[in-house]
Amino acid sequence: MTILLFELGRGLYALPLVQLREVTSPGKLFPIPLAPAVFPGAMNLKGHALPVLDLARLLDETQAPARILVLARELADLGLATGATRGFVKDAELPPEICAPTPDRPWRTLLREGSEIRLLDAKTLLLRLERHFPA
Amino acid sequence: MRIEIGHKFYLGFIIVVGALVALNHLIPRLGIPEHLHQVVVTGAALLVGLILGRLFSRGFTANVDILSTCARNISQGDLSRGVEVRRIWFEDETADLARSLEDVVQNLRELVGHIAGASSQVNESSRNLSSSCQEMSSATNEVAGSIEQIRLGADTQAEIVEKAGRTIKEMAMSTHLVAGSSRKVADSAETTALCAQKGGEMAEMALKKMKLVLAEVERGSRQFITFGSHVHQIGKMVDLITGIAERTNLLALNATIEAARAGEAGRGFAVVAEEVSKLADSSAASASEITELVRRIREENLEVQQAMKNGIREIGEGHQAIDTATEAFGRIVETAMATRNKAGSISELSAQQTKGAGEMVALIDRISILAGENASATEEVSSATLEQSASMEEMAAAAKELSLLADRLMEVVRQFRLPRTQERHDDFTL
Repeated sequence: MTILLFELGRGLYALPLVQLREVTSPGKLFPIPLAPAVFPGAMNLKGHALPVLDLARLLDETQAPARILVLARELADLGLATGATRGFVKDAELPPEICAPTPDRPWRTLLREGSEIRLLDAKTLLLRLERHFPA
Repeated sequence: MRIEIGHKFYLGFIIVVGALVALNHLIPRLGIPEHLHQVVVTGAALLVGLILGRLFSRGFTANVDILSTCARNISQGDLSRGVEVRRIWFEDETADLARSLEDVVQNLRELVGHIAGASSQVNESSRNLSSSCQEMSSATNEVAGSIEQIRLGADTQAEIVEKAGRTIKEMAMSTHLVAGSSRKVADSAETTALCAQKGGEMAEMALKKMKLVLAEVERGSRQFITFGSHVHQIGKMVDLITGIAERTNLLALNATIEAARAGEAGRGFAVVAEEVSKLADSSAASASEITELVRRIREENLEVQQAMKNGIREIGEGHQAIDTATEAFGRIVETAMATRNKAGSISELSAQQTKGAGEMVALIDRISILAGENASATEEVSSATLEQSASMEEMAAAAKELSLLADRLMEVVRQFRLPRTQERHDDFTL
């Protein structure tokens, strides 16, 4: 499985490539009325309004947005504001299933070249969002 | 009527004899018995003799007593009483003796009065003389003290004059040295003027070269500014390249995502996307290095520009400094020339001063001789004053002795007593 590494706060996070649609630069954000604070606004992505989630805020980190990771269309129409991308890791070995992510801890921890990588799962993230902000 | 004593004896004897004769004739006629005639006649003659004797001797004896008393008074120094004899019918030598004694008393009175007055005056004069002598003695002592001070002052003056002479000689030597130094100063001032003139010419040359340097620096500064703008353009181009690399990188990233999403079909595409991504990363890294280089060049350019500005400013200040130095050299030349002239004047004045100092030394030598003479003369005056003081003391002693003699004379004169009227008249108290 190929994963995309990116910076978020003091840590190094990752997302599987298959869960992404595109990576783009952060554009101008338009505030969304009555939206929670983790949604700073919506941006224009090729003529379509794309809500942007402040991933750092959701995971209790602090990070100025450098990239917007647009989730795959089949998951959600949502962009994640993150730090700079740090390349790919091909054929990343996943930890055992016992370390599966939960809404409270939506990542699995990988060790690569002595660095800890938190591999997020977009679906678990969306579950966490639904728990915090029920429709 | 005056009858001498001897004549009185003769007269009495004649009267007694005549009485005997007359009684011898008279008695028989008186009826007195004859045998009594002789007795009566003798008796009558004795009676006549006694009466005459009484008459003649009474005044004489009394006058002799008076004269004797008067002589005793005179012998005791009592001249207050006159000599007055009794008035008798027939004056004799006692009256003459009384008058003579009266003259003696009168003469003695006058003599004693004169002696008393004279001794009083002598006493007073001797006292005055004594006090005058004492005053003169004290004045002489003061004069002696003053003379001693003058002598000491004269000695001090002689020493001071000697010191002044030495000092003026040293001053004359110093003035001579000053004259020599002044000549050296004049030579040095001339040398300084020449050096300052050369310095001024050098400063002008330096100024010209400095202006050339300044022009070169200004030209370099303009080139640097142009260079800075070029570097700025490079920076802009690098920014553009960086943007392109970033966008390329993003594009490659998205291509990789698309390839991954395509699965097996997109594997070849993924390889191309990865290569593009690497190229973009390489471009970005190079652009980053160029950016860093441009940043350094800009910083160094800024530093160089600042350094050139400082250099231009310092060259301007150097320009001013050289102007000031040129002006200062000009002033130094003027001052050195003035110094040379003044040093020449000082040299001339010092020569005159040396001459004057020589004359002053001669004068001081003369003053020194005079001061020595003054000192010796003062010593002579001092010794003369001491002698005068001794003489005054002797005179005072003599005056005191004279006063004592006058006192003793007064004591002697006091033994005489004079009538009160004459005492008052002579103002002489006994």
